[in-house]
Parts: sequence; structure tokens; C-alpha cells
Amino acid sequence: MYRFTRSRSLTLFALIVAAGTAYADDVPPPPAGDTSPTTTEPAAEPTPPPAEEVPPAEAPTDQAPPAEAPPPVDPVPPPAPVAEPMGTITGTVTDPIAELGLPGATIQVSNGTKIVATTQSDLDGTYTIKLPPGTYTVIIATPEFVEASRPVTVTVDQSLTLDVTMEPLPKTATGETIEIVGTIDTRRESAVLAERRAAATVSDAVSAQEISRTPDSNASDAVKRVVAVTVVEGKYVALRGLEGRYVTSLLNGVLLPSPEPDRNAVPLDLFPTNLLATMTVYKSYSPELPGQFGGGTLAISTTSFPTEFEMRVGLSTSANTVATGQDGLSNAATSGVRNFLGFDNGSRALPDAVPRTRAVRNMDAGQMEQIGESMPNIWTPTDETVSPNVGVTVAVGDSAIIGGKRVGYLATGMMRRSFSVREAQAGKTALVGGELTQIEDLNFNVGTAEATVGGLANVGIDLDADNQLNLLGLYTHVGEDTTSFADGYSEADGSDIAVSRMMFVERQLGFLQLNGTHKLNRERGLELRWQGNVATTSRDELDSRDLAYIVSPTGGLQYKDQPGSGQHFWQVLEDLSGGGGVDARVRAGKVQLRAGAAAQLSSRALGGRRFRYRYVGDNGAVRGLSGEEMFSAENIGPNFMLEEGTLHEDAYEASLDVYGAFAMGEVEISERFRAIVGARYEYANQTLANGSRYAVAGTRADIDRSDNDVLPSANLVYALTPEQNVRAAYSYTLARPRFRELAPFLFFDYLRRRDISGNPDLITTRIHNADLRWEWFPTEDEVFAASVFYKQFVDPIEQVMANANGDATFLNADSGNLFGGEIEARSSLGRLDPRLSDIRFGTNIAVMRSRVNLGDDQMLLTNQNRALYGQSPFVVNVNVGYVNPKIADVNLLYNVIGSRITDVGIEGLPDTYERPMHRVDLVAARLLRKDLRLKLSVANLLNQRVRLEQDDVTINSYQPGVSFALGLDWTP
Amino acid sequence: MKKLLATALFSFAAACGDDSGLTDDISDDTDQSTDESTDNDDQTEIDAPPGVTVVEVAGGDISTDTRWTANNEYHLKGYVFVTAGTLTIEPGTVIKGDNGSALAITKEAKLNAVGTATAPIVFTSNKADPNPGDWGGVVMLGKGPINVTGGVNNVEGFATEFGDRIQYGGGASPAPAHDCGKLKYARIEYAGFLLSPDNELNGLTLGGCGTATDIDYVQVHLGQDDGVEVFGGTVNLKHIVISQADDDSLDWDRGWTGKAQFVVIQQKVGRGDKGIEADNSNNDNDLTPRSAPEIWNLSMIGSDGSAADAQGGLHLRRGTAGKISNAIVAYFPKFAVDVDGASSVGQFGSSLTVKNTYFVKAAAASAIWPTGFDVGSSGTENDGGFNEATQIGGDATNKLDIDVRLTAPKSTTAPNWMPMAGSPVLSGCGTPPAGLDTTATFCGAMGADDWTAGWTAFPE
Repeated sequence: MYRFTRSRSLTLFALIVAAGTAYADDVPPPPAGDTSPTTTEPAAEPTPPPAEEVPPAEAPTDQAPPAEAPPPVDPVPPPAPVAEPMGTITGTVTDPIAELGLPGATIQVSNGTKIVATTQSDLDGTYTIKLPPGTYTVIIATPEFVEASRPVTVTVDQSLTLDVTMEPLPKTATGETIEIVGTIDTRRESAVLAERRAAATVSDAVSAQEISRTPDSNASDAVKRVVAVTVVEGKYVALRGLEGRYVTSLLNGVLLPSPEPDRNAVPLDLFPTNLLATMTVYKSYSPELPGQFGGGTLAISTTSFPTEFEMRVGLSTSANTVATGQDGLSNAATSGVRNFLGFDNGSRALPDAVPRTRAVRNMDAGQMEQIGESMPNIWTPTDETVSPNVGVTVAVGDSAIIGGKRVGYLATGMMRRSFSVREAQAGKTALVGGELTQIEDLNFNVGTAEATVGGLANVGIDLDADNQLNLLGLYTHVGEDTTSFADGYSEADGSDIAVSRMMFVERQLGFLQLNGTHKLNRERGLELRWQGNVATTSRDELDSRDLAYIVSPTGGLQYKDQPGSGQHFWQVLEDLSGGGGVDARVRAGKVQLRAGAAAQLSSRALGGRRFRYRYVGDNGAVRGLSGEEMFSAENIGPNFMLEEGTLHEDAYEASLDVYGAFAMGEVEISERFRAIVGARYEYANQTLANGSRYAVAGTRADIDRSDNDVLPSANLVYALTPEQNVRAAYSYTLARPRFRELAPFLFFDYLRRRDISGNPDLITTRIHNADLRWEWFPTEDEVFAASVFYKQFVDPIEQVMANANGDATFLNADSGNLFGGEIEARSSLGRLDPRLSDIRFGTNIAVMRSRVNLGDDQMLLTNQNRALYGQSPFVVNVNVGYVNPKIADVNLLYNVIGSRITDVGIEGLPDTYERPMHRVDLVAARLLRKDLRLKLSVANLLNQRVRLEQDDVTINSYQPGVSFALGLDWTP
Repeated sequence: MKKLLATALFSFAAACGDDSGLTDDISDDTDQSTDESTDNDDQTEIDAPPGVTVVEVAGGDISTDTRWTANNEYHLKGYVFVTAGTLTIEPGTVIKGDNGSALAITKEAKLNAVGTATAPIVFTSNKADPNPGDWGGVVMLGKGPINVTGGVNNVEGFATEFGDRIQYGGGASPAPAHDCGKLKYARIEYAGFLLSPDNELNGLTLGGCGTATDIDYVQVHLGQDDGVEVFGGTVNLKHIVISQADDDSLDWDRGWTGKAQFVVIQQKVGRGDKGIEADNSNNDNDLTPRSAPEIWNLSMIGSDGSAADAQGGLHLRRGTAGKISNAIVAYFPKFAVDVDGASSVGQFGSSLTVKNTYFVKAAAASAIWPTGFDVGSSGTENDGGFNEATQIGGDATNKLDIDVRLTAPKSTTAPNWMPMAGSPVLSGCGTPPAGLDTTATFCGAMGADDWTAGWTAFPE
């Protein structure tokens, strides 16, 4: 969530304190929201860590050193006139035992009659307060330490240093535990690492700070930086090589629905990076998470409000070698993206002439003709020079004390327009004389224009130190306009073909959440959190147009009169959900208890209509004309008639209601040994009924299924040393069939020329998960970890083939399992030689092996026993950074994922694998002025081809090109 | 409770701003769709003749012996599966299909539909102004041998959720003599449905039917997809008329090894694709049992249209074998024969033959069909340069561009495929093997006997 509040046991406390290790003392401007001092000598005794600190250029908002510019004012109660002269107090709060800075200490300033300012120390124990001149008392309080107070006199334009070493409370009764209460700016990488160390589960995270170091512009790019994360098709997350159904996405704790009708996953490119505070990947389960958990859960938390006023304006532009300045396909004439922001301007709406109460079939011929003539008549792609990509982001945030309450907000807005070109070769194979032979070769040319707008507004109020409320609203809209053309030899047709498609899709996500945190009893650590939310996602596919021709050897065209040709298709998917949850925690002796309940009710409606022009004439010559000529008013009627081909499968209504309750206890078995044991009960009801009033054929299903499950889990954490943990975890979790997999909706994949349909008989997959992990956090910014994991799937849902034509469907396989190991390191070369301390590196390597047994009755499949669909055997991420604030911040990122199945082979044909593609990105950033930062990046330096292969026959490949990007961030 | 929530959510969604104007149209209608009948109400249906009772047959299973009688008219309202027992249909019975209906005989059941030359059984559209594709067609499935790996497959044209109902093939121990039942003196009109490319319902679909099946005197007229498609099995066909199909007329695939004799194919002007599209397997061209039917006494009449019609005669591909003899292949503007793919080429000569056949050019001979044969010069033929003109056209038993003198082969309303007096096809062709009518030593589907008389019809 937007604010991060801690409540942990004593052992944990020690760990967090360790996390407080000061940054390198000479670190220049800290990130926004970081109130660390900039003028004084280092805090008490920072163990000099490798200078892994953030470069100045990195934070979302950079502040200039106070010496140069008056830093913004931390809340001063009565509205302080802007011109009022101010002084500054800075300092560090230190734990004398751990010899480390104390994070989250409350620092209050009293003028003798009332509190005039409040702040909290940062992770390294530092703080800054600005005050009008005068005499004050500074009171420093943090649990487990004796409250300290110091008198100070503040003078104009002077910076006063006040370091405080806290005195620990004498150890008293048994069962004494510690609670750290504070607000930590979770956008910082070090905060993320501290969170990981303290976490009850196996998790990995990427912070806003890390993200900004990359060329990433949206969440799907950024999440690649997390261990064992695979990003599929540029926007879907796979964790530990598991995809789709096995990966859930939570937005501030709420399960996000997928806006894709034919995918299980949430496309992360909906989320621009500047909305993100952290993205955390949970790889072991804990009962407070939804029971739908397989490979892991990706938790996206949105940005918090800053502690000081901040504003940032970012401009970026980029170019790609295969797109920008080249000719790219476009259907600009009707493009919805013609509306600059990516909203359809009405030109792609279902024409008014189309009846809303019945199918366009068996109607009066005159009326049919009129409907046929009302359709947009643009079919031929045009070439257009591709423009560079552009993006603008604006973020404003502030907080203030109003009426004694701290109120903050953060609002961001962004828009982005991008263009891509893909020239792909697609083939098809058959066994001929036992040899795998390429029998088809099509050249695809795909141009895509995309416009994204997004906004987030977050308002928070601290009613008092114990009660906080927060309201978050988020809206993102993506308009994507795709034009493609393919030609070449089609084996099925026995001749050359030429096919084109124009497609426009709008996706949007709206999310509104109100949540609260209430510390009801600090003594007992009784805390209550709650949230209520409504969310909507939608996907509108507006008038996709497909046209196909047979091409004769002499180049003549003949209109292919079959589905998928001369076709107009509309489809709208809407998903609405609402829910809420409460979560209470309390301490009882050495046990931290936590319990909660949540309900999330969602409903989904999919509706679509398909129409196509049937050739009804007897003048074969018209079939050789262009789309615009064929389907002109002149020819509709005598030669072509529009006819509806909607199926019952084109519409469904569905719901998923999940009610859950959990209880868990964190038991401190010894100083070093924690056990987190609990269980979640989940009841889910899933319904789906399909049928379209426009259907001319098809079948209907009515599904109503429920699950009742108790999901036990246990996480054991043993602290070998204060910096090292060993973790073991077991959990029992679920993977419910998605609507997409249940719905009999028939989806024609025109690239692969096959149908995909759901299976209403699917049952929920149950998963046994086991994890064992060693991790070492030698310093605040370093981690080394190694883990092994095993998953046993009961009734895993897999894609299989429905018939020998290669049409796909889904099935509960007999069994499946996955085991693997991963290692992670983030450190600095300063470990080898202090002179290299400017060079930091991070690496994530995961190796997996999965098997799924599809059962002996799946004879059609070439392999009944194989890797899980879409699962990569390895994932490697490496990044190397050179961090020198005086020069630049340069990062080199490398990523590769192992071969994974993209298509299942039948009748002896091999499975199709996407081959590893080595990707290297280079990013450099530098401060031009104190308020202006320049970022340059080159993505995909090696410019390798993406290749899909059946054995050694390439059946699809394309060159993604190298992208060059330039960004400017202005933080006035 | 849920309604309230939904209302709240919808207003929230509206606030989030969907201004496409389409969402409401479709989703509102979707809301209703699941509650309402999905039949499009205002379509005109023909009143049953006096004295005939309409019996509505809802989509679903027929699992006991059932008899449909001629005093009733049966209206199929959805996909009707005969899952056990025998469905008997009396001579003269009319069965009409709604949009989205079909009659499927599963592999556990049989059809007994035997009409007479004067009282044929008629499967047709339920519309006053019928069109191809108004309903699905007739599907007969059995446990015969097919070459799909594992010996079973799901028949195309249906969504997968029907499970076993749409399965055909005898698995590991197929029954070559499987009996799918009898279909005699029957017409199937205005059938076919295109679910998606290469996934369609044909007029008559035969999947894995065996030798005991009796398909004789069957006409498929104005189908939206193929006329008759045979998926594997050993079923024999006799006295078949396939008139004016939108796609291929006779299509075989997945290891059909039956025989056919007396087959008329009349292509639709400007629409029909191939007279015969013959496959073994698309995935592995050499799967066994290999498609190897014997076709005797075949008349294939193309539209004689322009090259743009792109109609082909015999497309022999994907490893098919087969013996075609005593045939007439006339008026196909694109090609008369194309042997496609190395696997089929490998069968040619011994297992794949075209003999005793009259090849007649389209009247509007064009540059792409100078000789009537697809000689594969474009390099995209996948046949390694196989030259149909010399291999087939050059075969001494075949005759090229000789006027076959049929009575009215291209008429769509009153066709007559009988050879006129003095026609060269009346004699001098091959002798069909035992098991077929060995007296039919003429080329084409008819000699002196017009077996189409009486029971066929050619409505527009």
C-alpha cells in the first residue's frame, strides 16, 4: 500500500535496524521523500558500506542540497508565509547497541505549548526539520528506547545538527516485543531490501528507484528486473517460468482481473512506472494472500505521497531501428489512434443500421444491403513513415499538517504514444516421408500505433499517529491500432494468399480504493486495517477487419469467401468487481496473531458480433478487386451480401465471488527462530452462461461451480546471524480455471490458423508448494540468496489439442510438477577492491524443470509427458552499474530466458519452442543541472531475432530492432 | 446484494468513461441474451402442409430407438445427437433445420433413413427463402479405422465441449465393418456451417464409418461448405449427387479407404472450390492407414467460369493415394488435376492413379490453364516439379479435350448428366472391380440409366 507501516517482533527489529546502516556519507542529494541530512558529518558510526547508494539522478524527484537551494518546508502548522525565514535541524537517531541509525523514530518539535512539527527518521536514522527561528524542544520517541528530548535554538538560514543516541529500555517482562512504527519511503531500494529481509515469505521486489535506473517505461519492462521473472509477449508476467493462471497480480492487495478475453494474465503495460512504488513478487504463500497462487503473486503497490512538495515533469522520446523513419503499415484513415489519446472517435462503432435486437440474417434483402453498405469500408493498409515515440509524465505531490493532521497527496498523469513495426516470417510444417518439412512460408508485416493515458490520484490523511486513511483512484487507458498484412504460400489453400487485418483495441482499468490503518492499542500491538474497492477493466475490440485473397501464379487476386475474410468483428469485454477486507493483528506474548477476512465479487460480460460479406454474385471478376471496391455500395447487393456469423460462443456472462478468511500466528520460538503458521479458508463460486441473441449457431453452456478449500501454510525463518536467514515454507494453494478457459468461446487465431476454445468441465487445480532458501543481507544494499523449490500440481490445467486440425482447448492433466533452484546476488565490486565500489552488480539466475503428464488418452499429442506449457527451464538477469554522481550513472542489463513451449505438437510434429533471445540494454543518466536530469538508453543492443522453432525448423521469427531513447526529467 | 453491487459498479464504470457507444449496445444485449430464446424470431418459417404435424426436436440427445414418421415434419432446433439406439426415418419424411441445428449420429448409434425414389427423405432448411448454411447438416460417426494418432479424433464443425459425442474412430482396435446405418434416397439441402476457416459442418459428414454402412442415392444440394466429407473409415458411397456446393464437393481426409461408384459433382458458378479435395493427413503426410479410396464412374462438372473462379478439379495432396477411373473432369478453369506435395507424388503411379478419364478444358481457357493441368511451374507447388500434363495427361488411357456430349451438365435448375447419343464416354472405359457394378464400363456417372430421376431436386 501507499504507506508502509511496520509491526514486527524483536528479532525482526534487529534486522531492520541492521538495515538502517547509513548510506555512504558523502552521498549528495538524496531522493525525494528522503529527509536525510546533507550538511553534517556522518551519523554516529556508519559501518562504511560499499558505496552502493543511489546516484543523485535516480530518485523520482531529486532535491538539491540545502546549501544551494532552500529545501522545501516540512510541515509547519499555521500557514507559514512563503517568505518567512527558516532554519534547519538535521541529525541522526542512533541505536547504541547495534551502532546503527534508527529508522522510523518519531521526532516531534514543541514550542513549549504545543507540537509544531513532526517527522520520522529515515531508514538510516537521519531526519531533517525546517522551522522558523525560535527555541524549541525536540522529542525523539521510538519503541524499546527511552524517549529523549533536547532543547534547541533555531536561527535563520542556519543548519543545526542534532544527533541523538537513544538509550534502550531496560529489558523487562518476558514476552516483550518490539514494534516499529513508521512511514518509510518504500520507493527506495534499500527499503525494499529491508522489507524482504523482514518478510515472512520468500519474496523479491523491485523498487521505484531501481526501475528508474532502467529504460523501463511501464511495469512490464520493470518487472523483468526481478528474480526469475519472465515477461511474455512484452506484457505478461511469468514467475519461475510459470505463466498465466499460475501468476496473480494484486494492486494494493486486490486481485486484478484480466482484461484480455483470450489470455489469463494482466497486461502490465497498463501501469506506467511512475505510478509504481514497488513491485513485489511473493514466491512463497502466506495466508493473507488470495488462495489463487501458483508460481507466485505479483503485488503492485502504487506510489505514496511524498513528505515534501515535489513536482516532476518528464519528457521522453525514442526511436527503433526497424520502425522509426521506416515505412510502417498503417490504417490511419480510420485509425482510432487518430484521436491522439487513443480513444475511438466513433468511426469504429457498430453502425446504427445494424439491428440491436436480432441477427443480420434471413432479413429483407433491401435491408440487408443497406446494413452491408453502412459498414466502414476501409481495408487496404497504407505505408506511412513511422514517427518517433513520445511520452510525457507529470507528477505532483505534497503533504502538510492541517488542523494537526498530516494530509498528503500525490497525483500523476502520463501519456505516451509509441509505434512499432514487426516484419516476421511465419512457416508451417508437416512430416513428409518422416522428415520435418516446411510446407508454408508467409511474410508478415505488422504496424502498431499505441497511445496510453493514465492518471493516479492518492490522498492520505493521518488522523493522528495511530489512524490513517487513504483514498486511491487509478485510471489507465490504452488504445492500440494494429495493421497487418501477410502474403506467401499457404499449403492449406494450395496457392499463394494475401491477407490483411486492421484491428483497434481499447483496454482500460479503473480502480478506486479506500483503506484505513488503525493502531487500536500500541501496548498490545493491536492494529486493524481495512480496505474497500471497486475495480473495472474492459477491453473493446472495435471493428477488426480481415480480408483474404487467393493469389494466382500470375498475380491475380481472388477474394476468399470464408470466415476470417471480408469480416467485421466487434467484441466488448467488461469486468466489474468490488470487495473489501479487514485484517487485524495483535500481540500475545511471543506470538503475533493476525486474522482477517475478505470478499471480492466480480462479474464479467463478453459480447461480440461477427459479420462477413458473402459472395452472392456470378461475376467472378469482382472478386479480384480491392476491399474498398468489392464492398462498395455498387457491389453490395448484386455481388456481396453482409451476413452475421455470430455464435453462441461469442457472448457470455460470468461471475466469480470469492470469500476468504484467514488466521495466522507468527511465533517467536527463540531469539533466532520464527514460525509463521496459518491457514486460509476460501469459498469461491464461479458461474458462466454463454449464448448470444445474435447467434446463428453454436452451443450454450451454463456453469455453476464452487470450491471450498482450507489452505494451510507454514513459513519458518531461522536467523543464522542478524544478517542471514534460512527459510523453509510449505503451502497448499489453488489455481482456479479462468473464465477464458471455461468459456466455450471460440477464438480464431489467424496467425496460427486454428481455433481455441474453452472447456466447461475444468476443475480447480490444487498445488503443493515447498521452498527452502538461504539469504544473506551483509549490508543495507546487498543481498545474496539461494533457494530451491518444488511444486506438485494436482489436476493442472494445460493447453491440449482438440482435433487433428490442430485446434486447441484446455484440459485437467493427470499431474504435473516443477522443481528448481535460484540464486540471487546484489552487491558492489567494492567487495573485491574498494576502488571498484562505484560498480554495483545484480544477478538473478533460476533453473527449473517441469513435467506434466497429460494422460494416455491424449494420443494426438506428440508428447504426453513434457514441460508445462510456456515454462522456461532457466531465466538469467544480470545488471551491472557504474554509479558516480559526479559523472553519470550507467547501467548495463542482460536478460535471457530458456526455450519454452509456445505450441503443442500433434501426430509426431515436434512441440514449438520460443528460443532464448539474449537481450542487452544500456542506460545512462546524468544531472545536467540540479533540477534537470538526462537519461539516455539503448535497448536490445545485440538486436537478436526472436525465433520460434520446431526442432530446427524456424516457423516464426522477427527482428525487434534496437531502440534509442532520450529522456529529460525536470524537478522544479 | 449482488444486484446492488453490480449497479454501483456499473455507475462507477460509466464514470470511468467508456464513450465508444458500442459497449452499451453489445453488453446490454448480452445481458438479455442468456435469458431469451436466441432464435431470431421474425424469420419466416414455412407452414407445414395440411395434415402434417410439426414436431419440434430440441437440441440434445436421443438415446433410445426412435422413429420419425412421414406424417410429421421434424424441426431441428439445435444440435441433435443420437447417442444410442437407432433413429429410423420413414420414406417421405421431411426434416427441417433451424439456424444452428444439425443431426449427428454418434459412434454408439445408427441411422436408418431409407426413402424411395418416389418418396425420398428430405433434410432441408426451415426458411421460406432458404439459403446455403441455414442449418448444419447430417453427421454420421463410427468406429472404423482412421489414421489420426491414437485412432480417435473430434469431428470438425463443433465446439469441443460435446466430448464423446463428436468423437469418431475406433481407437487401437478399429472396426472396419462398423455400421453407421443407412442413408438411402435422401436429399440434404441448404446445409453447412462455417465455424471458422477449415472448421465447418458439411452437408454430409462421414467420420470413421465402416463397410456395413449403406450410403446410396444421396444428394447434397446447395451446401455452404463441402458437399460430402469423409474422414477416414471404410465406408462405400454409391449414387451420390453433389450439386452446387460453396466449397469442395467431395473431400476426403484422415485415411479413407472405401469405394465410391456413380458420383456426380456439379460445381457452383463463381463459388465452388475443388471438385475433389483429397488428403491423407495435414500433420504427417504418411500416416497410415493412408487415404486410398477407389472412385469409379465419376462426373465432375466445373462452372466453366473465368479463371477468377479458381475452381480446381482433382486436388490430390497431403499424402493421399487413391484410384480414380472411368471419370469425366470437365470445365475446371484453374486446373484439372494437381498432385500436391512430395508424399502424394510418391504414391503416384502405383497407389495413386487417374485412368480412363476424359479431361475437358474450360471454355474460357486462360493463361493459367493452358493445358488443363497444373504443371507446377511456380515453384510453390511442393511437388518437386511433378508434371501432371505428362504424367496424367500423357497416360494413354486418358483422353484430352474431346467433347463428351453430356445432355445438360451445367444447368443449375434442370441438369442432365446423361451422355447424349453418340457420346464417346458410353463405352471403352475400364471395368470396375468386383464389389462394384462391374458392368459400368462407361466413363462418367451415368451410362444408359439416369439414376438421379425422381428423387433428386434442384431448387435455387
